[in-house]
Amino acid sequence: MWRGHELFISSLPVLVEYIPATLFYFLVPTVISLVLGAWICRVRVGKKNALYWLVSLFVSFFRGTPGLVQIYIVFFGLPKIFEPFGININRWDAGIFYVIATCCNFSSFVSEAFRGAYEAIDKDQIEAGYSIGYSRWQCFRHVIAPLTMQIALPNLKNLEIDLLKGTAIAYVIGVVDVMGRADKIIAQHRGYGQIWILLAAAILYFLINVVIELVFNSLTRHYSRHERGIA
Amino acid sequence: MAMVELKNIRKKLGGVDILNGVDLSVEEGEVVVILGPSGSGKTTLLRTINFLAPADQGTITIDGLTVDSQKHHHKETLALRRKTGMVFQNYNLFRNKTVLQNITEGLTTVRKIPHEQAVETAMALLKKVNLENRASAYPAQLSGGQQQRVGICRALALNPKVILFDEPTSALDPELVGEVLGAMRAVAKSGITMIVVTHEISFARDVADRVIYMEGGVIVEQGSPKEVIESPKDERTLRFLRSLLNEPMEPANITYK
Repeated sequence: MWRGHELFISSLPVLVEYIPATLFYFLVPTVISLVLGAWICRVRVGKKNALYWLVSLFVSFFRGTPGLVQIYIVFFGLPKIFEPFGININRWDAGIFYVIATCCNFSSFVSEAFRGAYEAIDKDQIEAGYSIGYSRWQCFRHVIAPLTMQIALPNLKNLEIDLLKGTAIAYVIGVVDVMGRADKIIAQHRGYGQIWILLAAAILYFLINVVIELVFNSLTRHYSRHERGIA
Repeated sequence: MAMVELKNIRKKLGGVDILNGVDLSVEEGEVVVILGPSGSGKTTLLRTINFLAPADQGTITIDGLTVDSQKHHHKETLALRRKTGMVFQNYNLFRNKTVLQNITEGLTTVRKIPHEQAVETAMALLKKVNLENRASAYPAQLSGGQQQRVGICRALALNPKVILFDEPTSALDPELVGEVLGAMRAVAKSGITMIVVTHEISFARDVADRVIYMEGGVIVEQGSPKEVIESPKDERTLRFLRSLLNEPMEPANITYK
């Protein structure tokens, strides 16, 4: 017990150094997926053309298969696709493959959160926008986007929390983030006291999620300010 | 030249004929009230005018701009809409914007008027409907009557060529109807062209320049309020007015199919 406790103390500062890496694998897919997810949502609420079906298949696939499998498929499969064109991407950092796989997966979920929210907004609000002469873009920017965001936020919060926890799986393809580093420390000690090292990693993930939760709470307050003080 | 001109407006909704060739011409400054039973197409007609529900056929002219319902570019419908204002049955205020923002939005975003100037215009309008002290409230904090008065201000702010009123008092509690009708009377006096769909016979009688009775997607009868309300020529108009006034019908006046 005593040695394990020491391991906790010694590994914590090492793992803290990898928080930026974990945040990178959280924030980059977040930004890309919000944009990509919004675009997918737009296609999916529009006309049922070829693009609609293609995008729907994409969403269906990435929501319907395990994230871990997707990461492996991208990691091992993407270089094979590029090979015939004489492009060698085997040297790419493992993190890039993780980001690509995660963006596909996460934007699928984000698009569904947006789509559900868009369909839940009161269409009276959109008509009101058109009645005062909004163009389609103005209506999107001033009416549709804020109302969709308000409804989608609780769902997005869950997804973002999952996304952060999901980064811990990136170590399977060799990405070195908090979990990746923890795995290395465990290997150095041949598995001895691993529970203490994992506990240190768990605490760090938990603390980041507390911050994420606080950010979302304040966003929710902002987007639903018009409902405050109303029963 | 007429301010609003509708020619042969036809529309189906879900395979059902709602409008079966409506022609209507409204002069500048005229207040036209459309009466008719529910399902007669009066609300749909109103919504075809600003293309919230584009007609299948027919042309709409407002202030010299003619748009064909069958082949319209969204730039045309936008230009047409910007000549109109609309007051909705359920008020449709932007729920995430304050009373003041509801009115200034169109001015700053659509008309690109400086913020301070827009606020000035909005406050002047709110003052007219006695709501200047609620400028920073959100719609959900107001009564229906107050919301509808804001709705009227929002439509007025853009100084439209014509304001379309879609059953503006139908969703209100009876005691709140008066304040909204009062605001509408004031608008009518200001000389703005108005097309009003309503069931308020007294408003039609007192304020309208012309009353139109619609049924089955066509205009059945039109004329001065006196002509249409007090001595309707068509049996359908008579029957509708009687049912509205809750007058018991003589069995002889009811024809069963």
